[in-house]
Amino acid sequence: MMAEEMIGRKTVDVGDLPSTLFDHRAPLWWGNLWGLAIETAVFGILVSVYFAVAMNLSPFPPPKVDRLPVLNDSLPDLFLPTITLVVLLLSVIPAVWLDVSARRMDERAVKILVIVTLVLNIVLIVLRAFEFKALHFRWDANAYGSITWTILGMHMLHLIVLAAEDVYVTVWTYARGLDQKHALDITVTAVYWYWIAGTWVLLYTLVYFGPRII
Amino acid sequence: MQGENKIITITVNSVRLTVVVVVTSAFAACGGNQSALNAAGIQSERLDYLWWLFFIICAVVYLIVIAVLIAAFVRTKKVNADAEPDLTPQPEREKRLSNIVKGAVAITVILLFVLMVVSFRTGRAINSLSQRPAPVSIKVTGHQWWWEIEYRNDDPSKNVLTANEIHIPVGQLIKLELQSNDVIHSFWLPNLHGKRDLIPNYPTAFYFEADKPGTYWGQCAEFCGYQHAKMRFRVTAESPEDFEAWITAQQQSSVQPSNDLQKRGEQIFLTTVCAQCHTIQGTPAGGKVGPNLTHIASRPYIAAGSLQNTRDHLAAWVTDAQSIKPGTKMPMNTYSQEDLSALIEYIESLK
Amino acid sequence: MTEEELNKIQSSQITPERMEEERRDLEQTWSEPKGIVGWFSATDHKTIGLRIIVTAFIFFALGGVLALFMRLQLMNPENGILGPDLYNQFFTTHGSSMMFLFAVPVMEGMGIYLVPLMVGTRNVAFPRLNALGYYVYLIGGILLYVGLLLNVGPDAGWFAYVPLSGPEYGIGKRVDLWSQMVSLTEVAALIGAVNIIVTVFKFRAPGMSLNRIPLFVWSEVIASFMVIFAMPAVMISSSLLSMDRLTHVSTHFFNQAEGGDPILWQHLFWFFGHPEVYIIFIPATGFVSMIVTTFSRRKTFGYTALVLTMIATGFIGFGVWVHHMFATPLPQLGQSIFTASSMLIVIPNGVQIFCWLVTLWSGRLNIKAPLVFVFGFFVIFVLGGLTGVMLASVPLDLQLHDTFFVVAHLHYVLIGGAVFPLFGAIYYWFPKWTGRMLSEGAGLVNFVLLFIGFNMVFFPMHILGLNGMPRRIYTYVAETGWGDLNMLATIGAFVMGLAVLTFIANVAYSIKFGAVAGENPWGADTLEWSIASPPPSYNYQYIPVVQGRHALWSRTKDAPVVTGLHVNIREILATTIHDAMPEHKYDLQGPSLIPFFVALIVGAMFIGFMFTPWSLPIGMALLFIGFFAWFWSNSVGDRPPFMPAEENPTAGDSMPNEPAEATA
Repeated sequence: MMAEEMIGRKTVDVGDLPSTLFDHRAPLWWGNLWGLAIETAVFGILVSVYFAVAMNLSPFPPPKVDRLPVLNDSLPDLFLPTITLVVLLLSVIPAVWLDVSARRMDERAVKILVIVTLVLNIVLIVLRAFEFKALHFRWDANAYGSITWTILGMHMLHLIVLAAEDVYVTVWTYARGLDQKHALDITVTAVYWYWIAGTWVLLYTLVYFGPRII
Repeated sequence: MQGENKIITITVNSVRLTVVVVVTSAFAACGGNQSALNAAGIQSERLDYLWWLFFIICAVVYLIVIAVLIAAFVRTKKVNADAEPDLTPQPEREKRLSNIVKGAVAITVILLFVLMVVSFRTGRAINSLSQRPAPVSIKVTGHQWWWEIEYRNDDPSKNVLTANEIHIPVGQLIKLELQSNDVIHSFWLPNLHGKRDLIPNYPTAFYFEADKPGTYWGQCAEFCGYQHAKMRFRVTAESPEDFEAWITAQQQSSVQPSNDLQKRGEQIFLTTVCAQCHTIQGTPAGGKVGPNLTHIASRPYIAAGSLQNTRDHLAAWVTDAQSIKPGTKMPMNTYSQEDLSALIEYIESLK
Repeated sequence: MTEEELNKIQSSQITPERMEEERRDLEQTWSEPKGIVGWFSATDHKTIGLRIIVTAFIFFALGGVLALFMRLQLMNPENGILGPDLYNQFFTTHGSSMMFLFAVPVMEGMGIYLVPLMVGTRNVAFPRLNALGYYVYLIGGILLYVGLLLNVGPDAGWFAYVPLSGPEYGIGKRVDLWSQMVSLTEVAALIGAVNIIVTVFKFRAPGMSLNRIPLFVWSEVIASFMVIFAMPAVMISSSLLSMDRLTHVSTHFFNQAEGGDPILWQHLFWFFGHPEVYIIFIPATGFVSMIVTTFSRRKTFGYTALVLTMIATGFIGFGVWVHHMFATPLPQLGQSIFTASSMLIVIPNGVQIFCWLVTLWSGRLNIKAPLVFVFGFFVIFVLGGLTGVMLASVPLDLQLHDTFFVVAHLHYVLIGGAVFPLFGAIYYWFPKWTGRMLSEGAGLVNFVLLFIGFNMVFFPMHILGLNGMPRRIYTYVAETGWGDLNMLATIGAFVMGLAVLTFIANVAYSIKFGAVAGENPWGADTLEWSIASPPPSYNYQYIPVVQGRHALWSRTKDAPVVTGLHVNIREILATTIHDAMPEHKYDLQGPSLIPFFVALIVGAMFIGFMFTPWSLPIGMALLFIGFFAWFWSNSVGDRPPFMPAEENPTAGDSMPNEPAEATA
């Protein structure tokens, strides 16, 4: 654009536009969304592997024969996994509260809620660590053990990454206060939280009720 | 414009030159005894027809597309980069062109549909042979890197185990049962049938029939490791009488050594490593790792079809198989001159 | 911004001096740092894009050299140039290099460079992530070739079928190396895909509504969506394989004795593998659309159809994968469904071809090198597409599968369908990247050698396949009679090599001595041709307002531009998704070394995973530190409105009475 061409040219002045908007207006939100799409595809693949293994093993799950007495009914336990699921679903409530507080730029509420959600997150990770036992098999016992551990493990990886994001957001909010951009970060982290909870509802049903139904 | 005409000429001429190269090479090798274009049975014949139908339709479509392309390049007005771009071409012309495109798409859909239907019917026809009872049942087990061939008989003492060599009677239905012992292989006998993968624990079968006598070659068609390239097998289609004669000969126990040299060779075979991997029926040698050698001398090829069965080749194979098929499971063996000639003498007596 | 606000556009009060001042400020703000540290800190999409393209070409050349050796080995029966072990490593590395290290990255690299320019913005949405993607890709590529040099190159084929690649038969670390190379390059591809999609969704220039997006940009978006849904399949399957193979992990995904399944591997791999080739092909069709349009001097015929067919191809591409498995003992009826879908995908392809032919037919042609390569594309790709129709038929495929017929087919569609358009695209955009034209004469020689050489190599392979020659064999016996055609193919391979050398010479010469290009040597229609060649670091001083599908062709003399973006910070304009109305401003970070260090951690983590599963938790702990530093360095939180306005002049401030001096 030559300088002379600019003289008198019509302009669209965007100087007054804001710097940060929320949700689908935010590029970060879209980046997060497509990242979650990738991770959903990952779980989709793992679910199909689960079904492939289920077709190859009869009975499913296979009996546990590495100890006596042989465990013919090796269906996964329900108690601890269900507790984990319930805690996860309940943890969505403070996550939503945090989401709303961030949008309102309520720094005090945010500072409390980031700690609450971080603690809940760590509790969930610990619960998940114990949940592996409910499966009755190690990952190297058979293909059923391999895929169930992988599904639980992959989801646990998300819980860990979420915790890392929680730590970051907590540190920033306490060190530098709440600003628009980091309020956006919090709402995006909240979306991640909802996704983790939502996918677990489906995966929990598959892992713990799938063999009971198949 | 001069420069552009030159470019067009050069481009079109390179196309012409390529066509010449292509067509001459097309006639360089057509048919043979390891070829899908030289059908020796009804199924591969059907495939042949299918192939030519596809080829002709695709070739005609291709020539039309290329003709339009070349015409577009040749007959349009040539301009420079500063020519005013046309953002509002004539609506009637655009409409006409649009209809032509729609017509072309319609023809494409119809042609594809035709090809799909013919393909499906051919597939069904090829598989329909399985409805008839199969008099000859052959079990093929793929190994790295040889083919274990078994003819089962109701009387187990009449089972025939051989390697890399199949005989079939002409005009009779053959059932091939395929499985793999280790990795994925693929059984492909182009003159007679399409290929089938041999996947461990996925036994599979197909039926085929040869309509005229001949010798046909097949080869493993799924990458299976070092010597995938040299995992060949030979199929001899012969008259039912010749087939009976061959099977009966194969059912016999091994030929006993008839002179001292052969006896010595047999001893060497039994007392050195050979017997650990190979079976010779009628002797204590019962190894199952490598091919059955009971009638090895009746097979024109060794090392899964990669070497002709001569004394020199056999001696080379026995002493230094790694030079011939690097990576093969056949170990290198050291024998003295006399021991080696005794051993070869014995092996070559196993007709 | 609403419609009414947009219409309340004022006249600019900008003086030439003010404009020059702003330009200098912008240049300073957006400049790339110098020196070695600067090289590793770069975040300009043009820098990263060119790096990806050049790196991809290096892997293309390396893969090509491997192919030359393979051809030398096959030119005579029972040849002794490469033994089976080296040959198996060579063809595996050749395939992996071309598919993972060249074809997908180069298409993404072209997108990374061109898409922000074509949509009218200054960088991609996530510049540092972009840099991370490049380094991770580079590490993956280096891993593969270092492996080959150390005789640990993968040797189970680029598709690594189990059980051959499994713990029992795939001894050593070769397949593990392959698996980690795949994971690294797939992470890089996913990063690029997310960046491209978000850039196109949110950062288009005002006025570039969805139906005005250039066709190449559409092709990149569609390919990026395919990457998002296809790459996870191969990442997961290669990770499952790694876990089966690792001594202390020893999972049983593919171990039949414990409920695993080798056919599962094939499903997982080809569920990725088939979309992969469309991920490569669809951007190439984007190139063809752009070049055909510019050199036919008319608006593209069938824009909507071309967009819809690319989308259709993207979808159907996910529904054809079983056609790679027709020879397995899968049920016949199921296989026939995939015949139908594999033939179905021909239809959108056909629509594209017809639309392009009509554009050419009804236009006025400016025949230059880019268009000549597109001509080559038509001749070669259509033939490959037709052999694809043959392969879609189950009974025919059972003869042709795993033979040199397929080798011919895949090279006709990939080289014809992607490499020829790519060469055309390079001849087309080289002037924009470097400011100089590539030599037309050398380009013609390049084309002729490539065209003739290619057909010499690959046409005879159709016949070889029909005559019984399977794939992936390191030699064959003389009695097969395959020697003559193989010899012809080898000669052709060297002709192709000459073509590539010609290209390299053309590039080397023209970068220094080529004719100066100017802004728009081709009279093209997209936005990147409205700025200098090469573009300034900030791309557009004033974001343009787009008035039509062919932005520069429909631009009026008084077309408005955007003012009000800060010049002292890296700021771009976010617009709405559907109509590209200005929505908010978006601040980007400057150059940073952190992406490079994070990439080193990612690389170490994946390479470590070849040896021990502990690499994963250790790597993740280090990544936490790396990403913490990354996000912490986002000082954007302190940006406007926290910074006083004087320190943040915006472009086009209409204050004619203020003294024209910029503050720091």
